[in-house]
Amino acid sequence: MSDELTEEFFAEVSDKYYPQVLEGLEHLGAGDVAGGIEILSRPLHTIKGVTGFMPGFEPASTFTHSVESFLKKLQAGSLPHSADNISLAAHGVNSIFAVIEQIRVQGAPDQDEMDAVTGVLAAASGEGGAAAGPAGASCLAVEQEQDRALLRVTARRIHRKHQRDQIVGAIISQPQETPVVLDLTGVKTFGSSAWEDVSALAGHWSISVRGLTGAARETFHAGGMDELLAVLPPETAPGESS
Amino acid sequence: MRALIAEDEFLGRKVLSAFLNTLFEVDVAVNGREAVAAFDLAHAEGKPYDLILMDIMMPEMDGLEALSIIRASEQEKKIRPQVKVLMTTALDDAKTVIRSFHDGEAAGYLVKPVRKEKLFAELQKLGFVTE
Repeated sequence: MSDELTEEFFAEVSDKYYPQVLEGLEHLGAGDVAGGIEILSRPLHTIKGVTGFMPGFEPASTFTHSVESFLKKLQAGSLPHSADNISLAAHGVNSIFAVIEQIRVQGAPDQDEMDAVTGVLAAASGEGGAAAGPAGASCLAVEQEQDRALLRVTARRIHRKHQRDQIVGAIISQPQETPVVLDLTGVKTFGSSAWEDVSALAGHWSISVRGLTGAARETFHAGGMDELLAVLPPETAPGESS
Repeated sequence: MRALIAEDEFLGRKVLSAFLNTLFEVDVAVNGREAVAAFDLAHAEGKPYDLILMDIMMPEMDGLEALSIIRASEQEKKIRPQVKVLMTTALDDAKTVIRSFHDGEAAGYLVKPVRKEKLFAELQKLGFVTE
């Protein structure tokens, strides 16, 4: 039965739930938060319920539940409809499809990635801030190189105001003729507010970004940052040919 | 808290009632039509059910049809939150499972025979029990 259920479920996912989810995300992106979440709720509830019933897919059910909870808080108005929160919601929803696909293909989800998403959703919900680091903790290291300043972001998630302030502070403390490279290697998520802060400086400093991956890259492109900030190729390890 | 058990088999009703009666004030219905009537009556009384255990294969009206009528009624009367419904059934084919969650917005699905541990695990997920 489980094979039959898995086959039927994935057929429904591609034929029905994914298109519904895309429609819901479009509404979210257009600012219709209530309408978007209403559209998302049915397919996500089904994914949560059915995966909870499918042997091996239970982690997807738990994960979907955490994304659903975040959406419900947005819907209830207990979380602000900020660009960051909408972006996180969309990332959480997209991650559900990645998780179920990972389980289908590899037999297990990427636990680290799943934990990272649930961590950042929990942090944004005010359920503990461990994922974004304690307030006041340094989130970057500045290296002065011969012809540029390298800002290595060391926190895995950049969403909080004190983190954004640190990054902005590090940029504006550089002479304006010094190019700045923002290295996001290892950074999982970089909130749209943080991108806005950085892009506001783009006309005054020459800022490039490298090491963009995952959700950080998604918010970068979604916010149109590629028009304001140059993207450099990933750092090459010493002795490694590029 | 109030619970409704919709189940056509006498022994099934008796067992599920025994499981739930420490937590809920329990009513029973013997088919889908009675379940819908009980749901409406509970709302009319101002004491709606918190939980419904819904069998699927029942005479006169099956559990999925009854659930569909209940959801439509909730939608029409703007009843929020929706009543939490656990399907309790011998059917475990893929289409029925998916239809229960998608069309019926069931909160869970238990394949018979329903064991107390499984039922309580679902009740825990739904927040009716804490441990």
